[in-house]
Amino acid sequence: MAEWKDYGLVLRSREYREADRLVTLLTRKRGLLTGVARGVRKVQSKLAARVEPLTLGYYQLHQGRSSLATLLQGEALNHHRKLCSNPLLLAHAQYFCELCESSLPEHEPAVPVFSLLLQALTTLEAETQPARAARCFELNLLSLLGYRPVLDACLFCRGPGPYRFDPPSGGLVCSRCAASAEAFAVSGAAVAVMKRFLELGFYRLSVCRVPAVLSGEIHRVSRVLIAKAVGKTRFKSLEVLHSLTEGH
Amino acid sequence: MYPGTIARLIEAFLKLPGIGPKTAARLAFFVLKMPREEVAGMARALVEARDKTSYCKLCGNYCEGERCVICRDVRRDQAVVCVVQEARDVLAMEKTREFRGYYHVLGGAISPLDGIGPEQLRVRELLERLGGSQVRELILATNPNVEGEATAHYLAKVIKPLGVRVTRIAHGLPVGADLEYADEVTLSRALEGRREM
Repeated sequence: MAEWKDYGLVLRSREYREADRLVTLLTRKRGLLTGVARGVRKVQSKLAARVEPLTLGYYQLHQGRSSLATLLQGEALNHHRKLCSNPLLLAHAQYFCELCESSLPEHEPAVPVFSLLLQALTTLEAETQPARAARCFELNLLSLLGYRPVLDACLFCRGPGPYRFDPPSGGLVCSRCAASAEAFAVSGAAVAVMKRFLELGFYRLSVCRVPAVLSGEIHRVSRVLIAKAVGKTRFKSLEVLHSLTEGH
Repeated sequence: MYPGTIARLIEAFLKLPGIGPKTAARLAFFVLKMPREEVAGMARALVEARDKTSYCKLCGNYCEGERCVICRDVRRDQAVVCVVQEARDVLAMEKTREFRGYYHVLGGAISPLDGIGPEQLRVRELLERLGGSQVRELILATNPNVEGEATAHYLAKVIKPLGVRVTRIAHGLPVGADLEYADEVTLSRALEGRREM
């Protein structure tokens, strides 16, 4: 019915039929979509290397009557090879991909998310503290999805801290105002880092110090917001990531 | 639509990977036309394979009994072990007739998106096997894709401190292929892995 070309990042690639692969792409113009790459599991396939997970490419696709698109051709622009040489970095990268796949509707343009994911993967390749990049990605993705946490002051009285993070209202609540039973304490340092992540994104992330304790605090905030935004709390890649982190 | 027995047979074929409703129905009607003895033989083969086949306690390959045919073969080179992802990869390697060492089947590759980490693979068994053995070289023959590469790097990292030489199978162009039709990734890997003649 229609053929088009677009930049895309392969989020997931799984075996399909005898020699095909089902490829989940985050494309620049058409957002999230799933396409069939025919015959790519055969040795002779030219497309095989171009539909590997985490590959950024320029693809030619065909959308027929089926909901699945067909990947016709592709040119690989970046394989993010450094991420494949370190299982911990790979787990982080695939966690980013799983978050995008879970949170975006199919066939709806998501240019800001596409750009954010590319920035995150590029940062991750040179990152010495992958958890820092993960927290920054989570918060910025939440912001793009419309779940940006309110971190300036108390949501109710605009008063100063110490604060608790209140999941139902998605922001900080001071000790004088009534928070919900789910509210939990967050340190001033964690609030400052979260604000920095949201204001500057990945810009000069390497100079931002985020000790493990702070990362844990921020992750608690992002986790509850991700559960609200995405509607799920269990991410397979995150579980593997945790098991790899414990092993380090 | 079909009598109960045929419907049950179609349902049974539908459980196989890559078989859709049409193919399942076609296979079911083919079976109905087969001689009774052949059908009985096929059914027996299915049940016997399921009952008698297990995993080799040493390498993880398919076997009948405790050890597979390869692990029982004492003429093989005990100093070399080839690590593969799946039991079917053993067969592919054996077809080369070049490798005379032993195998270790991991049972998959690290794939965070599928929830598979090193703990879900037979990595602990491999480390136990290498400890105090005569193995001098470990060949990592995991698939040349993202998951296979990550697994190979992980294994190299945990095994090198044991003093075992760790090597990776080469990446490159398939025999008989034309250079001009090769994709840029394969070609760049082939260049990286070039060797002196």
